[in-house]
Amino acid sequence: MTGVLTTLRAGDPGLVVVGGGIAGLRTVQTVRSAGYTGRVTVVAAERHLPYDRPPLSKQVLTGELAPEAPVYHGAEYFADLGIDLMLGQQARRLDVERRVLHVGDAGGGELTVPYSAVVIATGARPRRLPCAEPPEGVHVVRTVEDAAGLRAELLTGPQVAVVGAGFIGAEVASSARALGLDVTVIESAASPLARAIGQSMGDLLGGLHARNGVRLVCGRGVTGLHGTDRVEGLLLDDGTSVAADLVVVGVGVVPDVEWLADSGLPLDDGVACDEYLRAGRSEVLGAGDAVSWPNRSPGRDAYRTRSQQWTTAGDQGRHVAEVLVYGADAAGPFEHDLYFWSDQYGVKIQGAGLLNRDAALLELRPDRSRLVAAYRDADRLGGVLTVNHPKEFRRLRALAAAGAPWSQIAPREMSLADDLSGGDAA
Amino acid sequence: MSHTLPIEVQLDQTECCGSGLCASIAPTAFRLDTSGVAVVLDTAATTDRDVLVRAAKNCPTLCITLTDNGSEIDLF
Ligand SMILES: Cc1cc2nc3c(=O)[nH]c(=O)nc-3n(C[C@H](O)[C@H](O)[C@H](O)COP(=O)(O)OP(=O)(O)OC[C@H]3O[C@@H](n4cnc5c(N)ncnc54)[C@H](O)[C@@H]3O)c2cc1C
Ligand code: SF4
Repeated sequence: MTGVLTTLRAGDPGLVVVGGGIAGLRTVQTVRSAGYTGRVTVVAAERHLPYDRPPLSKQVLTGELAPEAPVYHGAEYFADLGIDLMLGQQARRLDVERRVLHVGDAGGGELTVPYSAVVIATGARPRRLPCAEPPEGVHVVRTVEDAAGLRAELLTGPQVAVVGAGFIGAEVASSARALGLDVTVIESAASPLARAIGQSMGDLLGGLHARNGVRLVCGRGVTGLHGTDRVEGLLLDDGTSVAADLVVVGVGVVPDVEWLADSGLPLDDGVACDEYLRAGRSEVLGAGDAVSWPNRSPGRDAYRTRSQQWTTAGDQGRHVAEVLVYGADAAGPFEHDLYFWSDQYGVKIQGAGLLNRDAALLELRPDRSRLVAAYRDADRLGGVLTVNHPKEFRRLRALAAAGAPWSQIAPREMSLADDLSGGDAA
Repeated sequence: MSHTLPIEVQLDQTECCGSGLCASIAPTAFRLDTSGVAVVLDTAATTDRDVLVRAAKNCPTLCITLTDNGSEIDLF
């Protein structure tokens, strides 16, 4: 059993990875630990060494971490591994017939980088609002520059509006609140986080905003931004306005794959990969936020998804490396429970499995300082969500992965109404 | 300040996802190994308790355990 990279000859161009995020990093680390000794090149648009994105909406905004790139490893680490980093260079086009990547540099030049195998790991970028934005005061958070710019403005004491009550929006709101600021969160859906964790848990965790002094407005879309030079507020679809001199937009991400438009690769919600993360050809693979693939949970039908979670992106990076070194048969299909965490308002949320439905509560402190919820998938445990309870999370996550029957969980189910009677009902 | 026993720091490497956040928050206590998982440094014992607690709380997989005088520190 061999993969594309084990059949190369001396002088072959080797592996080229496009994108220097966690998916790209895990790819290059894993081809090396799997014994591949040929050439490895990473083409990465950002000037920084690979760095950790999740702290940007959390510890970097609150000031717990300096607003510099939280890099994983220094330059010598990559040199020791024999990895060529082409930082600050943007892939423009992929010619899959000639097996060449066209790369543009900041100076406007273009170079061609040949490859034997290529991994597309260009991630995603924040979606913007569909209305015109004043030039100042409207932010997104994806890069360390975004976070540093936002942090600097938060320190001037603005009135903050966050558009989108997803995980990133909630984390930014929490960080801004921790700095003592006045914060309003606007969410167009009826419940926050409903698509991610189902309506019942979305409502419950959405209650964290109010408990911490942040206004949450649900069911209202943003139709415009006030202000000419600098943002002055939001116009909502019911005609009301929200005053704000700083707006953070957290309304999801779009996969960075436009540069592949004329490549002939299958594109459907990112690069549409198969279950081995191959993009229509054995030497072109994809990993991370830029790709969709048919995921499968134990004993269930596959469904096409794009993860947008840090752990999945890294694990996909490892997997493509294994497919490239050991071959698809040996590596097997990529299956993932989409583990994620979020830090907000001083609590740690952890989730895994199928969560896009209502859940059964197994444990809840009325102030949400502890929560355990189980998600049912037909006759089995399909997923788990916890707040501040890592041990129970690990236990239930393992049970879900093993396809444990729901009957093992059901006896512990409690009624939401019962428990909340002592606390608030959000 | 009164003298106290050092806090015992344990890290479950099978759960560690290699984010390196512990090392960013508490560089005297943790380091990201070349294999991509974190290790506990000898100087963890002399690291400030609050810094250790912050690192443990912020760990994405909550795989750091702190023990003070024989009992586990409750992080939450
Ligand atoms: C603020 C923030 C907080 C987050 N918090 C969490 C969290 O708590 N938990 C969690 O599970 N997930 C979290 N995530 C999501 C997680 O960070 C992503 O899922 C993960 O970073 C995806 O990794 P990736 O390598 O696929 O893509 P990215 O990290 O986006 O990396 C892709 C890289 O490719 C580069 N690139 C793009 N186009 C090109 C091109 N044409 N040529 C060359 N390079 C290119 C980009 O500049 C980028 O550096 C968070 C994300 C953000 C932004
Ligand atoms: S913060 Fe936790 S998961 Fe991340 S490297 Fe440290 S121990 Fe590992």
